Amino acid sequence: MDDLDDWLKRDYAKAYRTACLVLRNADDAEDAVQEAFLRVWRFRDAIPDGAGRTAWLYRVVVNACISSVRASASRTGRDDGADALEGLPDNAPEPAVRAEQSHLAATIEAAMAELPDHLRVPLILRFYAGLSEKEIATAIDRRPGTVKSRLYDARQRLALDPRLAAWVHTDEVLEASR
Amino acid sequence: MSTIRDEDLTRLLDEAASSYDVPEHGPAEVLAALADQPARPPVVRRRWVQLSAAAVVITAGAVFVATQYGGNDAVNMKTTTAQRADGGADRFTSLGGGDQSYAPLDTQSESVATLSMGTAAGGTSGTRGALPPIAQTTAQVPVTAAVGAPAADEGDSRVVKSGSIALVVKDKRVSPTLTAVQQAARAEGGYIASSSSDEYGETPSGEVTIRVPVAKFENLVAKVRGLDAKVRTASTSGRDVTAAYSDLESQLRTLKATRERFLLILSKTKTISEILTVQQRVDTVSGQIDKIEGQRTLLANQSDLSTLTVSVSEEGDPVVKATTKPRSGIAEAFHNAVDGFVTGVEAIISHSGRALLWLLCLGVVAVVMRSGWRVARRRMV
Repeated sequence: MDDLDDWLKRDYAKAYRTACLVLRNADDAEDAVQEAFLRVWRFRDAIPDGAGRTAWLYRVVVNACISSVRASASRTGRDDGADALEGLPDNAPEPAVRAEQSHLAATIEAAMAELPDHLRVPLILRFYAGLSEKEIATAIDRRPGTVKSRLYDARQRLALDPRLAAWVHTDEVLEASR
Repeated sequence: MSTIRDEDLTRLLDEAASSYDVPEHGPAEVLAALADQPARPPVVRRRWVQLSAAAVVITAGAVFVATQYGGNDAVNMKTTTAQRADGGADRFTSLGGGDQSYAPLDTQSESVATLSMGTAAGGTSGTRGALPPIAQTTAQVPVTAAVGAPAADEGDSRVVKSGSIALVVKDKRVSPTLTAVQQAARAEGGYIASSSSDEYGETPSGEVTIRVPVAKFENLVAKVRGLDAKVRTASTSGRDVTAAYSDLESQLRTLKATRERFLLILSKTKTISEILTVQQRVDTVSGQIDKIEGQRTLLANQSDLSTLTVSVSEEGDPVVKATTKPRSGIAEAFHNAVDGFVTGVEAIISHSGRALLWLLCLGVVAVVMRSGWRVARRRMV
């Protein structure tokens, strides 16, 4: 990472929207991503080369999101405990904002809001940020097995949500489609 | 079992994410925030550079250790000279650690020192002040003192000096001699660290411990030796602690720089866990700094002020007699015979109580057995 400008052009949008999905608040997400990129730049020499770089970036982004959550929790006098992923605030988009979103986006956001955060964050990193399970493990500082288990639970819970019934397929259908 | 396909999940999340408009000014604000931060020199990450740096550090460390502990005991100097109070024929000098290397206290930075192993040529021989000043010695002994002192010139050298002198004075002269010693110490800028005297009985004695600036140590020793007293024993030692002191100072500099870096990091931490972790590091480093500062202060104090202990006793003191009166061969044999006789008598007396107890026990047993035998014989008959 020799040029922060290139890094920003390439990854800012993805990182920002990941933070939005995690925090469900655009302003907090912008602050968190800015802090994340500043941290990345500050410790740029410690960033591994190659494939690990992306995982490292999202680890910083997730940590910045956790810091943002803790900061807001301390402002409101709330303690989130050791695992901040368990305590992300339920700040779903305001109705006015939601009205501007597409119906599909609003539906998936509503369904995602029902998920506990320790399941939602790996899901976002896997299916939006495109990280592998190993990279997610690095990003959230958990073992790959834990990530796999959480992703499975998240998918099962989403499949049970009636709002997403249109996207749910049985195993037989999946087998047939393959 | 039902589930959602990967591609559907990806599409749904893309849809949800796309509902958030990416702020166009976002990257620019990151760059602006970065510009507001103080510049930080990038750390070189090239492996060969790191390896080269590590090799240089290891080599420098090895050289330092080799020069510091490379079998040279010359930095530890100790001279002990004992002399009979009655004339000084039996004089010996022991060199620190049995090593041939030796350095006089006041010429330790020179490459060659002189040492007298025989009778002093100066005017101080005789019954008073019989030991020659160390610098006036004559035998040539090579010295490699202060080899391990890193970048310490003569002015920066630190030596811990200490010594003791036992004086023997005539009757009723203990107290005046102690007073004279204290006056000499004060005249050299020193002070009395402790003093004690035993003026009860027929053989009063006293002792005074003096702290005096290192530069005045030799002067004070000369003044004490010049008093109206016989020198029974005298010993001085010097230990070059320049390297140790410099090492402590460099450790302090490094630890303080480390603490500054941790404090800087602490000011930038955001999460509680980060704060606690960094604070713990800061506390650890601060503890190390306090410990090393204490050691440095102690070393500085020891090397700034030397210690001289002067004991004074009268000629009639049994201790003085026992250590200063030589015996001839016959007298020594007679003395040994008397000692043996006395020791034997003492041993008999000391064991008599136990022997008496055994005799009583045996007597009781004999009486009981004899009575039993008589009873048994009467029944058999």
